[in-house]
Amino acid sequence: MRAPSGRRRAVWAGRILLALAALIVAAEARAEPLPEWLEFRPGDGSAGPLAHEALAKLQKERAGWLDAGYGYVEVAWRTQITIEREPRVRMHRTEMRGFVSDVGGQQGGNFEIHVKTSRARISILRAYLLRSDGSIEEVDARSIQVTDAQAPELFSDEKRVTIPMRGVVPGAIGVLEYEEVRDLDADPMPWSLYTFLQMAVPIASQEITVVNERDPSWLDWKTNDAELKCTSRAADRIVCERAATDAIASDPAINSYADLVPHLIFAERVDWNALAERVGGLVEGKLDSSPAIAAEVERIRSGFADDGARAEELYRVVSNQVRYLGFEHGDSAVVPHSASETWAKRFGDCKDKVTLFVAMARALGIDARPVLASTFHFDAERLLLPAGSYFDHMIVCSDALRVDDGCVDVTLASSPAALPFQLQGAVALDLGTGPTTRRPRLHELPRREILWEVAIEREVELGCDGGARETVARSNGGALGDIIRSALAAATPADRTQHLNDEFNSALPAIADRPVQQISGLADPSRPYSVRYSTEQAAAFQARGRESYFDFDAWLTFHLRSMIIENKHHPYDLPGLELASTTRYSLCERGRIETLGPTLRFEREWGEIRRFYTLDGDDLVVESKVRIPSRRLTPAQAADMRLSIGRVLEQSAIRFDYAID
Amino acid sequence: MTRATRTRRSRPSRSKPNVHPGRFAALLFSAILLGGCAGGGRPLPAPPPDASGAPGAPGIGSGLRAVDPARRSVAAENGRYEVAIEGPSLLGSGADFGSQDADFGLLIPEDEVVLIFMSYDDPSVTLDMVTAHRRDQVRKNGKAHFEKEERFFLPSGRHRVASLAYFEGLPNEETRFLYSLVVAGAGGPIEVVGSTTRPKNGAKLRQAIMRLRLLGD
Repeated sequence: MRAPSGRRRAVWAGRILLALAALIVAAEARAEPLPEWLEFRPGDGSAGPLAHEALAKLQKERAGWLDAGYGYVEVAWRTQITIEREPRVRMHRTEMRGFVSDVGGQQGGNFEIHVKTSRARISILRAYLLRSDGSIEEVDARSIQVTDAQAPELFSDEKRVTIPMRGVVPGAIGVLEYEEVRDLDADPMPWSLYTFLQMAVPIASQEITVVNERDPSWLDWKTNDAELKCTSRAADRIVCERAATDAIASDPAINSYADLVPHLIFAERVDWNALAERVGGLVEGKLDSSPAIAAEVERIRSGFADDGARAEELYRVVSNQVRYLGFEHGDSAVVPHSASETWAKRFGDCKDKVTLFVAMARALGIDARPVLASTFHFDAERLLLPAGSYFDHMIVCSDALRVDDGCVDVTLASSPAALPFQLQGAVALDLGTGPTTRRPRLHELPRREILWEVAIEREVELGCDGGARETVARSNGGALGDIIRSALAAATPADRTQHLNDEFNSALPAIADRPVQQISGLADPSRPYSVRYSTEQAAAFQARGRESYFDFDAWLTFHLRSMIIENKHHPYDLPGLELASTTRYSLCERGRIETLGPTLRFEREWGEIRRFYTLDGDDLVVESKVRIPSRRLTPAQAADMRLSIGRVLEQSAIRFDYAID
Repeated sequence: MTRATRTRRSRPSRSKPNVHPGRFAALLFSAILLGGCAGGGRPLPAPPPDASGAPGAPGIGSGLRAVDPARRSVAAENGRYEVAIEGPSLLGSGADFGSQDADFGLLIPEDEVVLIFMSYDDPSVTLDMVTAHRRDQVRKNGKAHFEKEERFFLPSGRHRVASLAYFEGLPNEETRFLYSLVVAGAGGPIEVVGSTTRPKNGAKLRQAIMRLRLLGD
């Protein structure tokens, strides 16, 4: 084929540009009409006084915010919540975002609204950009994008509305004003509204007004923000204001920002018992049976001797044979599907699977109770009043199960019958109705002292030619090991290999020739999974005379380093580690061990690290043990522990003297 | 026979101090153990000039006097440190070890106990280097053998890593039992070596050594 001439190239380039332009125009023109629950009111090209105030504020403070490293800041938030008699809740909200730098436009140029469309309607009243010269750029309705707000496995009518500001430049203010009207009629859950009052960027001013048109006894509210000034200017009106709110300081290790950030909550008045009974009733109402369920129950009853074994088998069946997939349209977001339907479909979300578990457990004569859990609160004292908004997950607990107070998460496949790592210590609300129901209902789930159980077996052959051959088998167990195993079991072989290689590179960065690593035990949740590899190194040590041998204990170091927390601002719930490592050195026939290395006994309030050297025939066996129990670490304690572990790491090399004739 | 025990801040000397072997067997033994920088690993820093062999150096016992019980600390180039002393204490001139700084002594009746301080005023000297050096010296001396070593956080120092090595005497007339405590310091390790002729005093000696405290910890 002949190469195109310069003229032809120009013609083709022009055609391509035209085609691209046509595609862009077509894309805008093709934009689907907004859904019926979303209204967009075109702007009139003017900005209100609040927007001009926000612009003035941005112009005054921008240099300081830029110096502090912020790309954008929330200059003003105004929220008015009206609780109507219908019953209905109307929320009018205005967000004014100041763009400090170009990066800020990339970070915050799109505004978002999350909406549960089965019960709520959104009207976007104003959406525009106010530039520093006073000019206005209105948002184009055709550019508004509506996407699913949930994970791919959750089918629901919860949506995310993205409103992209046009022409964002530093010094401009983005303004979004909208109204959400939520229908409370026959809502299966008591209403509540949970608002975080601090973010990763500063909020220059906030104002929240609640107008309660219902009986005053219907509404409860509370905040844990000492700086938020709330007043009841009238019997039916509460106004909360706060001036500048600093950004929440970030730290490398955070369990949950929700436990750190102050919040304000409004909720339909209800006590914890009533809330638990109401949500528990939703599960109780779906505990049916079917011939298929009865057959499976009979299989478990006849195949397993006692309640404990039956409950574990039931967990295995519900977690592994019913896949996680939620149909959460409408009230199904909070009301489970019936047990028979979930068993027939072999899929369901957390509450569906819990309902199935409870139904089958009771058919087996085993007590089981549903429990609401929060994956973002680990401190029960952060829950200010009874409200469903604090919870986002459901698990099941049974006294027939042995560990973690018998609580399990049936949404996790390939996992043992125990609480997963993410829920250790999480805040929970027991929904049970039977005698084993936990009192008080609101509590923190147990948190194991040891969450990461690691075993390392190394065999090192030291040849008379100076070469070293090493075989390493390491296993990962405990709640943390289980969650990694569950993820590895679901991963592709390529992703598994990548994970193992990443770990190896992190532990042994100096070894360029990465060995092939074999992984086993992923399918058996009753024991830790393990990884095995072998390496060979020529001229690894001096194979003549009397010498000292030093060996970098890479995997011990790798795990100890993972316990180093660099937090400067916030406490961290350190997951407990127990590590047992055995290294056996076999010297060649002309060699002998002369001097054993030092026993290590490092003990502090955060844990202990020990090492012993023993001779087993001609072999040297080095056993190392680390025990660092789970605990909450303040930044000062983390710094203290960091220093201690740093000193221990300096002493962690295995050392002994040998002689080779 | 002198039962004096002494402490010293110094570096290990290369040569054997010129002290009377019969009268001051304990000191001689310790000096042998401490002397020299040969052996595997990186050489230790050069010692200060050794005046112990200078003509007319006084006998070690001649300058001993009671120590003020309140005085427990020693100033060194890499900081100040102290050791708790049990029992009657004596103070030597220090000249016998090439240092004019006063030292502490530990006295256990009917025993020859020696307690010596050394500071390695070089932050690049590691615990491994000092412990290897000490093991090597004891092995070359041939009168005791290395028994065991432990590493831990010094009880009196929050993050201060320490090594305690124990050497057991060989069955001959000069049998001694020896502890070497090496503590990591910012300016370089500090070592306290203690020896006794009687195993039953080992626990007391160990206890005294373990009370080493770096001031400021």
